[in-house]
Amino acid sequence: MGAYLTPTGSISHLRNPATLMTGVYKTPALYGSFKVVLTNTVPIAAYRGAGRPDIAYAVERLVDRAADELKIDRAELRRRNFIPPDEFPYKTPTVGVYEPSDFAGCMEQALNTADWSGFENRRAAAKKRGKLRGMGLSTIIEATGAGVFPKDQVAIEVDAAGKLTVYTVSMSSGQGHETTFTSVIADTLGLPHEAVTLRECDPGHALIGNHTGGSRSMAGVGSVCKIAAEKLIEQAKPLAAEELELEPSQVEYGAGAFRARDGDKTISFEQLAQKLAGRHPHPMNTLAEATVGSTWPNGCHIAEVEIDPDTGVTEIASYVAVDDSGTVINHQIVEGQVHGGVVQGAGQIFGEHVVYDRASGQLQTGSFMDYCMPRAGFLRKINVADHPLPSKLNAIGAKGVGESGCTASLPAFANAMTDALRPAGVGHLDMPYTPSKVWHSIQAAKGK
Amino acid sequence: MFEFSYVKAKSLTDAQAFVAAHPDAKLLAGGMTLIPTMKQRLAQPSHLVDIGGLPELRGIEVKGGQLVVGAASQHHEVATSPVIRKALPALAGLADLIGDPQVRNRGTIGGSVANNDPAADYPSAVLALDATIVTNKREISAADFFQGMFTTALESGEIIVRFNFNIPKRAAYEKFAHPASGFAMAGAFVAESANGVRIAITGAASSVFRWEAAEKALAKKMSADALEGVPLADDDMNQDIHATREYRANLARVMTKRAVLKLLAA
Repeated sequence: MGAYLTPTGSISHLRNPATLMTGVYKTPALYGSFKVVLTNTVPIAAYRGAGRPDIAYAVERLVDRAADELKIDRAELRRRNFIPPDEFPYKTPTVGVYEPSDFAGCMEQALNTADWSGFENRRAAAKKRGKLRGMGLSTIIEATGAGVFPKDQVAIEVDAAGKLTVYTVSMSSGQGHETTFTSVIADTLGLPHEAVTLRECDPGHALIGNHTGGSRSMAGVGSVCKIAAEKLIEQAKPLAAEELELEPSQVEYGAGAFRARDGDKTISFEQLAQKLAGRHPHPMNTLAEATVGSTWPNGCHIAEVEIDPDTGVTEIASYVAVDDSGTVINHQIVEGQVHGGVVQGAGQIFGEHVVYDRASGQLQTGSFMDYCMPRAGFLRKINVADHPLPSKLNAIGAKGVGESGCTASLPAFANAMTDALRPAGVGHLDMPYTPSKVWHSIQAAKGK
Repeated sequence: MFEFSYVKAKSLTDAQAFVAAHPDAKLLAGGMTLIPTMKQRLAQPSHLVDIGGLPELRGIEVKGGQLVVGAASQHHEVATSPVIRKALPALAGLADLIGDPQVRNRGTIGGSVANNDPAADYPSAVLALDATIVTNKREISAADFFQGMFTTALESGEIIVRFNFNIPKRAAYEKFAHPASGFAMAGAFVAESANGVRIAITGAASSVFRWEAAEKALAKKMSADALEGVPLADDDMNQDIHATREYRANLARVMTKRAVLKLLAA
């Protein structure tokens, strides 16, 4: 844990691995214990994935090891041991209750996309070029979105022009809330996206809600955005009825307008908002809230790597990510999250390593000249596909996606490296797979 | 960073006089090593005497069968100079591998060679091409110039003015870039001329060095296979958290092989 406990360090790195200890496999019983050590190094804190990649790395490497020893295809061993579809909601032997998932479907989609069955041809072609090629997969599940506050609130304010401003607590630092939250509200109301503006952490609005983190914003705050928009419609129906001189029960809403169930009386959202602009606060202003708990995103990632045995350098030949992130509000945003997560995983697998001098305690990787961050050119193409099974645990059907790339890529890369190095006689090797380490492992195997 | 005064030299003699009169003054060309060092408070010069723009230190031309490169030529200029790309394309290619675009547009060949960072690229070309380093006081041969880690034959106040490179029949440079810093973890410059083959290895040891056993092997037969089994002691190689000395020796050999293949393909 480093020199002292930080909340995110100790909680994330114990709770998440414990919850997900059996991965996506039906496991009747297991035993686990944590040894939590205080040292004199920098404290551990949560970093995208926060314990989920750690346990996925351990479980998925074990599965590959078992397949190797049992001489069973790695995909087949997984297929046989996945939690079957009829056992959801599935209570794990630890503390998880998984929502319905399609592990086999995700994996088949990924295997097809990555041309799993054609791999041995590519391995043989690489061998002719003097390269070691390997392919690895991971099938993972995450517990996301629990949050730390009891509820999320979202406020919508309507102005005299009929435009909407949405207030949330959850703050975007690149997650694209400005796109996704506003589109949820605009689409629910049948309004153009530009009619909705997002203000996060506005000092003038005291709201209760969760921070951005734990892959929860879309499932949590996004759901409340939908609830808020629906509530706004119901709240505005009597107001529209007054304007249309109808009983409220005679008013329905669709495509941005209130209209009579029978007859042709209609008033648009914008017109109604403008008519009511004289009242303060605007009577269409809405506050909504909900308690949204964990979701269970899952997926299958496949990495293909090629090692130059002369230098130990690894090139990532291809990468396929198939994720069940539940309802996808915006594929581009999901893809961006997966890209970031996968490249982060690649950084940890191939380069990142905090090194202290054992004798003096001096940090030897104190700058990015020594601490190897992943570079943009390192992973040039990621094939990202959705395999959505909408969640029934929240209003919008979303599952978390912020950490799936990192969680799935660590074991996918490690398994691909193991697969590539096996023909060279290299057995177990842990990350980071730096050129020097890979080269030495090949040399050591030659000497055996 | 500690406080210092910036002085823009008007001429080479002006710069020379200023540093002679101010013992704690430092010469500034591109500042790619000096400025970061100062930012970390590892250096405290009283003055920075900027010689980067001096006309005496600039210019690239072929003269008397040699390629003459002014010391203040930036890496980007060397990489893109039509004169160098024609006369000594391996040198242009080397310059294009240094750092990133920002560094290549600030850093200079003179600054890099004067600093003699063990992981810098240029020293390998200077040594393998048996270049002459022309200073404000004398001419120094490459063989005498590089004396160890960050150590050269330059005396206090001595300023590199230009480099005279012998133009080889063919030459090639291959570099294994450090995954984090981009510096050479091993770089091999192979040059073939009428006088034989010269190989200079940078990045792997405390200073650039010639791999003479491999030079002899390549003189007999210019092929990558000829390097197989040629002794390269790893005792003097650098060892750190990134690479063992065995790995660095291996990289030096692999980079030399690749440089030979590149040279043969050119």
